[in-house]
Amino acid sequence: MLEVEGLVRTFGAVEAIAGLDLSVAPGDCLGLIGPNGSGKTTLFNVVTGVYPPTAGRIRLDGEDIGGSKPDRIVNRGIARTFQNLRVFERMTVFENVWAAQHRRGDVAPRELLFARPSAERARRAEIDALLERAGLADRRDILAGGLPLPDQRRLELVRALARGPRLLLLDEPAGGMTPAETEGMAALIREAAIPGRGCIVIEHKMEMIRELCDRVCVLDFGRKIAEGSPDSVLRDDRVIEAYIGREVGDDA
Amino acid sequence: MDDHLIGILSNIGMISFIALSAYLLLIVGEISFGQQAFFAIGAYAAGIATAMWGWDFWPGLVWGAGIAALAAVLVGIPTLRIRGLYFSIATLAFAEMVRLVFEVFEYRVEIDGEMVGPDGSDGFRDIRYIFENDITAFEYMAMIYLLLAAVLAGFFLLERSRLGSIFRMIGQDHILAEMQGLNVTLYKILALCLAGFVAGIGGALYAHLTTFVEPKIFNVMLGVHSLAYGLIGGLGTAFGPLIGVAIDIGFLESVQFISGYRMIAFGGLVAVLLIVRPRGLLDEAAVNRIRLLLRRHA
Repeated sequence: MLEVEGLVRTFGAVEAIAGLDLSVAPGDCLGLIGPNGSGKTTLFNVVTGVYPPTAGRIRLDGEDIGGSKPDRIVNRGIARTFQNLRVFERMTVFENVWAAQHRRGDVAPRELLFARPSAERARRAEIDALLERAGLADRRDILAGGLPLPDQRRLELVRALARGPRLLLLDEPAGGMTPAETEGMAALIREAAIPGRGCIVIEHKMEMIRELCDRVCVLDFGRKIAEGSPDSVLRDDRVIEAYIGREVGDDA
Repeated sequence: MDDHLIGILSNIGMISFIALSAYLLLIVGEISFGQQAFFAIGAYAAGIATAMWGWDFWPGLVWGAGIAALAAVLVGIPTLRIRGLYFSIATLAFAEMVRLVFEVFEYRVEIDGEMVGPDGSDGFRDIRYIFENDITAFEYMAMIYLLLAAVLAGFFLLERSRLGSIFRMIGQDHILAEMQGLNVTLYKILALCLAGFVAGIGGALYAHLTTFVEPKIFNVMLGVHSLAYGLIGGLGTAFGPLIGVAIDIGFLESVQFISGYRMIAFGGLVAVLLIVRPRGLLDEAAVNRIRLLLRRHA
């Protein structure tokens, strides 16, 4: 469903993404790893239109979306979360999710002012079920800015899911979480997020990548340096070198 | 009811409209120093309609508010691409431009042997509709509050609706709002248009209450006050700016022994609140707490 071909994005003289090809199919969860600054978040920003691509093609279900406005792109069925946590701090947890549904197919334009009670009840029940599943049910009515960090990450995921996206982009969904919380997050993503849609996960925690992804793509300086199953990729010499550098005296 | 009290209450009601208009823009995250321009446009347009074209009051009022809304959209299209401080400066510049245009704007016609109409910096006299139609001060006050109730009902509908939540999303994080699929500029122009309409209603009411408008009262202080009302009363609900107006007009300006110190007290109040409650008395947290309490007891 998502196909990226020869994608380039430069900032001044820096090539943040330097000719990247990748693809994601429905039901696929692609892991995206690489050292800091290797272009992972930039890829999300280019796919969602925050930055237009410098060159190359991005197709969603066969349609070219490169260079469109961000709101148009995400309305084709993309939702994302953010590495540096973004919630609407002065709205309640429930409102954060509810508000994000405004452009879902089943929300009629007139419902921007006058909700259809039956449809609205169904959507609210769906949100409550998602919040329950994410362990946020008892936080439903507090302002999102008052949530602890792991709860804000869960809220971001629920908000993204409630929009009913076909493609989901998760940027370090377990960032800053304890091992137990990370495990809970992985289970939530596996059960609620991946089925029926394409998914890309940026994550530094390898146990999470191993659990969620069949396929991993490793970036370094904006280029793909390896792709394959998690285990094969993590044994790859170039990947080890990108992460921890070369051994002294190893002049291969 | 004595005339003094009616006068104060009428003023509170009328100024509430411009306070609500500035509040709406604060909700979408923009600080406008120029809402007095739409107030002025509403005042002139409605005054021209009733005093010079012989229109009835209500169509005149809707016309005045509509012209103000149209002006707001025309200002919004170029200025809302710029954000934050630059938007604020652009609105201030626009409002000063409008005021200076009214300083030279002459449109006089002879009605019953008298010249009527805007006369540059001498202002626009004889907007005598409420006298000619025997509307008492009390009745006019009732009309102001009827309209205010209608506008407030609109605000409450808005705040419970998806459109209201869209405005708040944009105001809190416009990039995140864009990532939820919102055309941020379009919704900001819609907010500016609604805010212009509401300010225009206030202006139309003002013109007919005082029967006389002159350009110099639509200066930047009016705009600054309307911003401050929301910031004092709170940005969590449309009641917030009304509390701000009630404190300023109802108390500081109207209680005799305080009124001489109005600006000092008002400025001090704004400064203190910006430190202890930057989003006003009824901020989002307070409103959420009240909502939960009400729900528990409902």
